[in-house]
Amino acid sequence: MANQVFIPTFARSFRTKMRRPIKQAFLLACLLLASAVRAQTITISGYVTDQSSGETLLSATVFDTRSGKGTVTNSYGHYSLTLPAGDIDLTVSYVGYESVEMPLRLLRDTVLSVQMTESTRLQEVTIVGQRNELGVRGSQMSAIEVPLTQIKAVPTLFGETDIIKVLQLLPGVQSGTEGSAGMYVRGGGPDENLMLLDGVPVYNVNHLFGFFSVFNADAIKNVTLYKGSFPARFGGRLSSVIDIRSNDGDMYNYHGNISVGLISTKLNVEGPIWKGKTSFNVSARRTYADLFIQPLLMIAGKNNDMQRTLAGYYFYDLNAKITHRFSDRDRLFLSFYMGDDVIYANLLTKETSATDYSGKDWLKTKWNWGNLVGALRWNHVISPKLFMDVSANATRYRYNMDLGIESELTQDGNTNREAIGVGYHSGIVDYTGKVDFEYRPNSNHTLRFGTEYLFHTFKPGVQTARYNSLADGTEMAVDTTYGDHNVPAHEAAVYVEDDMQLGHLLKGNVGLRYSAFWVQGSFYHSVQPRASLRLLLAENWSAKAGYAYMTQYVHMLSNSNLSLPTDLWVPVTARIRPMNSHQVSLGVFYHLPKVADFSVEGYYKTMDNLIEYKDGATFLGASTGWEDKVCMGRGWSYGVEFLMQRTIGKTTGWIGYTWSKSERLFDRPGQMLNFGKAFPAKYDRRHDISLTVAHKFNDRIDVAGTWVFSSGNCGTLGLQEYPAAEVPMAVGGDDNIAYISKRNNYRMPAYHRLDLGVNFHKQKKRGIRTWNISVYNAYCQMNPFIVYESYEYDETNGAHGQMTKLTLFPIMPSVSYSFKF
Amino acid sequence: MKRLFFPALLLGLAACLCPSCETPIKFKGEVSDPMLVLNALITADDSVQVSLVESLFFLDESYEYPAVKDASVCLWVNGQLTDTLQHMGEGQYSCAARLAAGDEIRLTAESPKFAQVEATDHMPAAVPCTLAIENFVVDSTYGTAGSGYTVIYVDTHFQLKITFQDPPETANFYRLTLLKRNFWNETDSWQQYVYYDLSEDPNNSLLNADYAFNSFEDALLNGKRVEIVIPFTESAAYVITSDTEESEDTEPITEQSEYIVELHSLSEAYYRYLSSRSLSSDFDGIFSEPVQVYTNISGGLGILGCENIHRETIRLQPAE
Repeated sequence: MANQVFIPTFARSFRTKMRRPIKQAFLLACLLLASAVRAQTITISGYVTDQSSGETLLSATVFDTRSGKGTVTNSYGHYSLTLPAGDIDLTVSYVGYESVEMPLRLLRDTVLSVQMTESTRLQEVTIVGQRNELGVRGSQMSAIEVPLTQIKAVPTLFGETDIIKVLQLLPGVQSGTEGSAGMYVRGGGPDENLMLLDGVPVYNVNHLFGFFSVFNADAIKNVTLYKGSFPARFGGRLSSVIDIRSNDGDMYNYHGNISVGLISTKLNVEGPIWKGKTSFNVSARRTYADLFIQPLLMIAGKNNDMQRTLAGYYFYDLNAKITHRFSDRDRLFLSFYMGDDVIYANLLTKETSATDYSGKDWLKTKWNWGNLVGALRWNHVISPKLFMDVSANATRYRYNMDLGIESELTQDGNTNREAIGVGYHSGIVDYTGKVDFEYRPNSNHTLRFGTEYLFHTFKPGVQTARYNSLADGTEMAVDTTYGDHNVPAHEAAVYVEDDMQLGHLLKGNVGLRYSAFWVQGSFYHSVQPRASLRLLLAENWSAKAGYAYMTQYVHMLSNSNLSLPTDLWVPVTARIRPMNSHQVSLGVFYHLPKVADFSVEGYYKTMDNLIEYKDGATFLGASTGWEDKVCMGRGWSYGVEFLMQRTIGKTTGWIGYTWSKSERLFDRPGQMLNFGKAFPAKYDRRHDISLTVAHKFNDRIDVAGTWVFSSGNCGTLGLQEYPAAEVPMAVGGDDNIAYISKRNNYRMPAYHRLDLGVNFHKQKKRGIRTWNISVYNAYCQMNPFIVYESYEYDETNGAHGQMTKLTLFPIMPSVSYSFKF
Repeated sequence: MKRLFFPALLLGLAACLCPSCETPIKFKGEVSDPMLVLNALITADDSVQVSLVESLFFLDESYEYPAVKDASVCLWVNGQLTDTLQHMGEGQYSCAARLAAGDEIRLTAESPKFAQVEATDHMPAAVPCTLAIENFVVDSTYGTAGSGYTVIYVDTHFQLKITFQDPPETANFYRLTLLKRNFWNETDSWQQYVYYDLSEDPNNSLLNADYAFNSFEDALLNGKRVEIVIPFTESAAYVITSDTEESEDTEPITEQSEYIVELHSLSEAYYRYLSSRSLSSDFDGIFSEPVQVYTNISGGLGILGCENIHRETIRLQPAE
């Protein structure tokens, strides 16, 4: 497999006797020449792919063991490594694959694409050189890459593999209420996470009020979470970046996977369109509870004289991607995602009397909300050292609610009709153009630079109302639309970053991002420095430090504990300024060969211009006057995170522990909360532990388990009650006042849960079938979803108040069947 | 047996899918002892009334706040002990002292059960206002009711215009109340509170008033001449004739009414108490943010608020 490249030896004779000045000049020239010869370097570049499918492998290590220099493949599987001419020992490695080792003699720039074979052995594979940017030797910190095999192994609610739920198990990441797909990263809010699907932002990642996320694991290749020390190529959110890359599809063979679970069925098909050149990958998922419920509804409807009873809820996702390889230099990707949640009802009641009378009543309602994402991407290798990625993307989130009631009454030959309809429509649409370059002049520098432009259209909410009536031969019709106009906004950014090796011990990533935002006559801009530094303490030890300044120009309006579809994205305004944050982090990393990676990170983050709802503010989707309902303040969070992660071998998993504190202070005049004093953030939790283990016994059975423990959620309780002062001539005001000592002054009981799962695989004639049995909350811990005050009455004590918890998910067993062909 | 395994498993799993449930839990938060609640809303040139009760822990079984009857309540004006309030029964304390604009008022209260609580506030100056009736229009229509009764429907439209000059040098807080007094004759009258929601009136949106008390601050009005226009329509129906029989209601219309506008100048503490109480009363469960009602009682709960009222009256002539 060795690709031998011979370089012709260059030699020249020269005179040995010269006059001194000439000699000196000659010596200088020789030095320069020698320097030039020393600097004579060769660049090898290419893609690293899976041999059987042609799928590109991201973050694969390409390393010359002789010089100790190496690199990793980028987000598209491309690498570029510049080395001194001569002999090298190139090793390419990737988790779960057999390492490829090749001795090479470099004579000229070479394109070398490497195909790797999936490891059939269960023993550990050592990542040669540990060049991974997230590992001990990489400059990046506060980032975690979770292999998809581990994501799929984690037992989850109803057996639905869920990327977001797995990320919630990592240190520094907290979930909201139980079952919610909300993410709170290092004390940030749920709208401070940039969710990128193939580089395109996805605004609403929730299905079923947040109990499931929109990402179908069958369509996903790679997931990386950045919690801090953000590279300059990312921006627009304060707290995290979740970079999700979808599968390209098998270039050589057709494959598929069908999975039937308790609540949904999934189908994934991939294969070549043009063998070795063009591939496709299509994944679809749909829930079917509505289909099962329908017959029951019909029976219930008939018992109530209903002629038509169509009602239910479902969600679906569709991921599709086409990849075309023009050559080793050019690739084109077309990816598409569509997903919706739909609640519908179509009920018809008929009433007929013995006399000349009949009546009909219809109720028609449809709520649907979801994302539509499309991306066209072109990868071009301009030169062995320069890689370009150009993309044009669109993303849309929309929420529609339509409700109609119609009635018809016929009596004595006269028909009267009445129809009332109301609707609410909101959302956001982004169009993005982006160019990114990656330039690797030598093995010590990887320069990334690029620019992007986003055209946002915020649709804050339009209401429609219509009324039609026909009564006694007179017709009347009203049709009106009102609400806020669409708000266009422009966002642009440029960035440059250099991932640099500074000698053997030091490595750093220094970058700068400039972003600007125009909306309704307001202009904001921000210069955001980023830096991270790694100091190698020993062969397997390193210390890292990072700093990131982030700016965010959009806010999500939502004040419920659930992820409701009415959550609304709005831009900054003249009054509501962009949010920004400073974050510093420090950490120590250790790689114990053939065992695991360990890290301890501490962080301190300050956030400014955060928004919170004012006391008493109610928000249920209506955007009108939202600026009056919020106030601006600041916050800070700090904590320590420990992670032990094992990604290789029969037993994989991680243990994560986080100690953290997150507080808010709203003390600006007219915008005070908690009387201007600091208070805990909504999801401030002191302790968070997660333990995830997967073990593969053999090709037929593997098991996994997850145990989580966290401090309880915060809530606000009035601990004392007292009478209100009597105010003359007033219409409102409670007679009793609840004394709230401060916001979030009550902490719910601690949360803990054990999930277990087992997979039974069996090789069949046409593929592998897998039965998965999993139990969510195996020991049936009655964790509180919400806690509230209630009153009970009994004979002994009379009426008395008590705290009551509502548990949403006690023990939840599930089973699913999948067949991979 | 093997064939039965998965169906049996499925059935078992389905049986285990129990619904969500509610269970009582022991409260493990901060269990606080009762606190002394002092409520005193003091009006200039009026007697001082103070109410003292004990607060209740929110899970307490009792529904009645125990009155504090054995407290020592002192009134300090401008740093001088002015009066000791007398207990009038059921935790109500009173004294005859009269307070004037500019006074610094301090109340202290302590009892054998509670340590001393105290609060300080300032009596604001009243802000004079003028009152006028504008756009007075009377609409009369005739109609019939029942068998031959003739009815006059009289709609009287007018606007009450309240004008005042906000003092520019201080932050000012206001409350507007309206009273209507109807005179049956020259000596007999009855009076009622008229509710008009300033917070819902787009013409008065600059006031940003709360809905429960019509209180507002001068944040957007500082130093300006403020005009508040309140539209009214009074409707009446009079049966004046009958084709078939004499009406019982054919007396001439003699009723007169007058409107009394009170512009309350509030202390900041009083205003913050009212605005937070207004929000609190609008609390809408889990879809609302909780509301902290303002208190300025150090060591306890409740409010010491001061107000100074300017009152204007205008009489509305009956429609002819």
